[in-house]
Amino acid sequence: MPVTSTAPSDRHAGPQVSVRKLVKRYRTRRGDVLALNQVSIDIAQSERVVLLGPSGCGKTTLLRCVAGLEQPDEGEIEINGVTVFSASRGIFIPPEARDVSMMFQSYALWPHMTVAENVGYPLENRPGANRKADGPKVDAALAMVKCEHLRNRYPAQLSGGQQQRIALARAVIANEGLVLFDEPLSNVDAKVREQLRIELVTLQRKLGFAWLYVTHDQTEATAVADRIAVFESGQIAQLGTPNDIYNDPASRYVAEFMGSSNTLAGVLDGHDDGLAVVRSDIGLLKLRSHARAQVGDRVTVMFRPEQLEIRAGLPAAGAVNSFPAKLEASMFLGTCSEHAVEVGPHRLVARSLVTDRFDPNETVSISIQPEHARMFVEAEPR
Amino acid sequence: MTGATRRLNLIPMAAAGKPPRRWVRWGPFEIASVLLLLITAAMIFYPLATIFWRAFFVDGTHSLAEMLATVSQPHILAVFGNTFVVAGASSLLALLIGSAFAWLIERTDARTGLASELLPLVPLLVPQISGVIGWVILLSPQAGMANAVIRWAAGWFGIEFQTGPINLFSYTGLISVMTLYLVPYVYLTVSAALQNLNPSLEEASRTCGASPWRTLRRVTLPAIWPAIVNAGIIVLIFAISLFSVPIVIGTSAGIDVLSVTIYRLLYNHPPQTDLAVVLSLAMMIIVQVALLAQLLITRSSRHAVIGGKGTAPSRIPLGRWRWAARSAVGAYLLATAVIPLVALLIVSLQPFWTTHINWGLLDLANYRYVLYENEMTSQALLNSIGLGIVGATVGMIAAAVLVLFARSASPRTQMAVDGTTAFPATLPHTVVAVSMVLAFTGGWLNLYGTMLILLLANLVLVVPQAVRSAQSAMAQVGAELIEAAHMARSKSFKTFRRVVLPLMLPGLMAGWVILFVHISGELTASALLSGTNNPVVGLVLLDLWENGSFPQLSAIALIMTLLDAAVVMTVLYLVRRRLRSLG
Repeated sequence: MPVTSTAPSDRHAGPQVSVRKLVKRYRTRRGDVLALNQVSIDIAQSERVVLLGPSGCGKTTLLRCVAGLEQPDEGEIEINGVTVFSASRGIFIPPEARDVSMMFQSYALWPHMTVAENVGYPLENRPGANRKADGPKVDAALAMVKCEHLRNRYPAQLSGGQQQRIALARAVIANEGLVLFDEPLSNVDAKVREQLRIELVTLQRKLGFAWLYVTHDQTEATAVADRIAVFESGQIAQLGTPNDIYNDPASRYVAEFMGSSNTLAGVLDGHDDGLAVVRSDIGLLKLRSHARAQVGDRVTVMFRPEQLEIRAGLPAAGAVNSFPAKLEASMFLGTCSEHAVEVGPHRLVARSLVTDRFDPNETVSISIQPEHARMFVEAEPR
Repeated sequence: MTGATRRLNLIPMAAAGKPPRRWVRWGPFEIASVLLLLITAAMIFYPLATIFWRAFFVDGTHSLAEMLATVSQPHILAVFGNTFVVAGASSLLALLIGSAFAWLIERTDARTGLASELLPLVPLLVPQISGVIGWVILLSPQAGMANAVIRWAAGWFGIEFQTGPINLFSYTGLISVMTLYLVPYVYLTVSAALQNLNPSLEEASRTCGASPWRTLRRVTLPAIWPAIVNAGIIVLIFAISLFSVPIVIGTSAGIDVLSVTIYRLLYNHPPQTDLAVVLSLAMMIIVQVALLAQLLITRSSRHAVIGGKGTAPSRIPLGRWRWAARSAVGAYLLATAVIPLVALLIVSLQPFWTTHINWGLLDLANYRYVLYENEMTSQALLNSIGLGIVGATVGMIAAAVLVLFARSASPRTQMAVDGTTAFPATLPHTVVAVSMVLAFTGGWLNLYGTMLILLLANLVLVVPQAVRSAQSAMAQVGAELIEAAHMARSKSFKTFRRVVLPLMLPGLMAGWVILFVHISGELTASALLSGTNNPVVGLVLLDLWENGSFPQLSAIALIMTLLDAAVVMTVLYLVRRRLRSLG
C-alpha cells in the first residue's frame, strides 16, 4: 500500500532506491530505440551514485524515470521501500508524490519568484505547510549555501554560480531521502565548478541524503561518487567505486571513457611466470593475465599515460616491457608534462613529472610495469 | 493497492515534448478544451461550408461551367485584373522596401533604436483607415492640402496648376498607399529571419575577402530566402484581401478590386448574393493557390542554415549613406504615422474640409458632435471598444486554454489544434464576412444585426493571431521550470497557478493588445455585418466617407488612433517592466 509521501524520518531498512529491470523505449520513425535496456541498480541510504556516460547513453532517462518525469515501459522502481513504478502492477506515482527532489541542469529557478520564494516553494507543498514556520528553514537553507544576502533578489539578478547555489538550496531544503542531480555543474566555469563540487559533497555528508547524479565528465564523477555506474547504450557497462573503474575497467569502452589511455593491438602468445605474454608490433609485452583470454586471441593492450615511464637513453638489455622510442614533442601542463613518443608505427603518450626534460627527436626508453597494463579480448570478427 | 491505482491517472503535465502515451487523464480541463476546440472548428468551418453549399447546391443552377461564365463577364474580369495589378505591384514594392529596411536596421549602422521599435508597431498604432483618409485629405486632386501647398509654391515660379499636381485617385496613388501599410509585415518577417541568422556566417564571408555587398548577395540573401518568400506571399494575400485602402482610394479612382466589389454586390440594392458568393469562392481559391506556391517554393529549397544566436552582429558602416538610409526610414515613419494624422487633426478641428485653413475657426465642435451629440457615432465608439475588450479577452483565454491543452495532448490532437486555429489566417476577411452573412442570417439561426455575429466574425478573424501569441507566451515557460515545480511536490493546478500562468502573463497581455486593436478597428467584416442596431466604428467611418462628412470622419479616425496608441503603449509599458524584472 503506497503512501502519498514518506517523511525523511521514517526510513526503512533497505536501500534508498531500488531499480529493477527497467526498460524505456522511444518510438522514432526508424523504429524503437531502447533508452534503457533491463537496467537494475540499488542505491544505499546516504550513498552517492554517479551515472556516467556519453550523451544518449540512457543515464538521464534513468534519472528522469526515478524522478517520475518519464514513464518507463517495463520494470519496477522502489524509493525508500515504496513502489513508485511497477509496470506489471500498473503503478505510476507522479513526481510530486515521490520522496525525491531534483537539481536541474538549467537551474530551473522560477524567474518571477524571489530567491526566498524559490527556495521555500517545496516546503509550501508539504502537508501542513505553514509559511511563518518555513521562514527560518529558508534562511537556514540559504545559509548552508552561503547566500543569505540574496534572499530578496530575483534569479535574473544573480550570477551563474549564485543561481546554482540557490537551485541546490531548493533541492535539499525538504531534506528528502534522495536528491537527483542532472548535470548540475555543466553550466559554470571550471573554477566555480571545482568549488561547488566540494560544497556539494560537504552538504551531502552533513544532511545524509542519498544522491543520484548524472554527468558526462569522468573527472567530476570520480570526485563526487561513492560508486559510479558507467552507461553504454542503455545498459550499465560497469558499476563500482571510482578506483575500481579507473584502475580495473571491465571493458575497453569503460577504460577509454574513464580517461586517456594508450592502446596497442596484439595476439596472446602464451603465459610466462603467471604473466600473459602478448605479441604486438613493437615487441613482446608481459602483463597480468586475463581469465577470459585464450592463447591465440586477438587482444588490445591498454595502459594509462601516467603509468608509462619515460627515461633518457636506450633501455637496459633484458628489461621487461622496455622499448626504445623517439621523442616527438613535449607539452608542459602545469602539474605534469606530457610526452608524445614514436614507437615503431605507434604514437604513445607518457605523463611524467615536470622536472623531466627531453629534446625533440631525442632517443628515449619507455617502459610499463606488467601490473599497470590491461588487456581486453577483441570481439571475433564475424 | 487502491491508493496506487487511483493515482495511476495522475499523469504529470511536466512531460512536455515527450507526452506519456498511456494513461492519459480526462479531467474537466481536457473535456472543456475539446469542447472549445469543437466550437472553434464549428465557428470557422460551418459558415465556410455554407459558401460552398450556396455556390453549388442551392437553386441547382450553378454548374462549374455556369460559374466560369459568370466570372468571365468583362466587368468581372476587369475586377480580377485590377486586383492582381494592384496587389501584385504593392506587395512587390512592400517586399523591396520592407526587406531593405530590415537589412539596414539589423545589419548596418543606420540602426536607430526608435526606428526598429516603431516600424513593427505601425499597424497597431495607426489604423489603416485613418492613414488612408489622412492621405486623401492631403493629396486629393482638388481639395488636397498638400496639393494646395504645391500649387501655391509653384505659382512663385510662374507654374500654374488648376488641380493636382498629384492625383491620389489613380493606380499610382492606390498602390503607393497600400505599399505604405504593407511594409511593416515584410519588415517583421525578414528582420526576424535576420535576427535568427547566425552572424558568424556573414562574418566568415567577410574574412574570406567578400565585400559587404557581395556578402549580402552570396550569403545573407540566400540564407534568408525562405523568409523573404514567406513575407512576399503573406503580403500578397494581405493585399488581395485588403479592403480599407481600395474602398477609399479605389472607389474614387474607379478602380474596383475583389474585396470592394463583393461588398458592393451585397450592400447595394438589390443585393446580388449569388455573384458575391462566387467571387468569394474565387478569392478563397486564389489565396489557397498562393499558399500552395509558398509551400512548394520553401520546401524544395535547402536553406536550413539558420542556427542559434551567436554574438551580436558587427554593423556595416555605411559612411555618408548612413544618413540617407536613416532619412528613408524616418520618411517612411512620417508618411505612415505622422503626416496623415496631422492632416486628420487639422480637418477635424474645422467646420468643413477646405484648403484655406481659417485658424480662427478651429475648435472641438466635431469631437463634441461625434462623442455626445450624434447617437450613432457615440454608440459605434462604445460598441467597438466593448467588442474589442470582450473579443480580446475571450479570444486570449480560449487560445491559452487550447495551447495548454495541445501541449500535453497527443501529436494528432496537437495537429488538430494547430490546423484549425491557423486556418482562418488563410481566409480573406471578406470571405469570412460573407460566410457569416450566409450562415447566420435567416434560417434557423438569425443573428443578423446583433453584436453576437460581429463578435463571432471577429473571433474567427483573430483566432490565428491569438493562438500565435499564446504559443509564444508558452515558449516563455521552459519545460524544466514546470518539472522543477513537480519535483517540489507541487500538484498540477498549483503548478499552473504559481508557475505557468505568471510566466505566460506578459505574453498573453501583449496578445490581448493586438487582438483589441484588430477587433476595435475592424473594417471589412464590420462593413458587411454591422447595421444601425449595432453600429461599430468601421461602419460609421464608411458611412461618413460616403456622405463626405470629412471633419467628423477625421475626428473619429483620430479618436480611434489615439485610443489604440494609448492601449498599445500602456500595455507595452507594463509588459516591458514585467519582462525586465524577469530578466
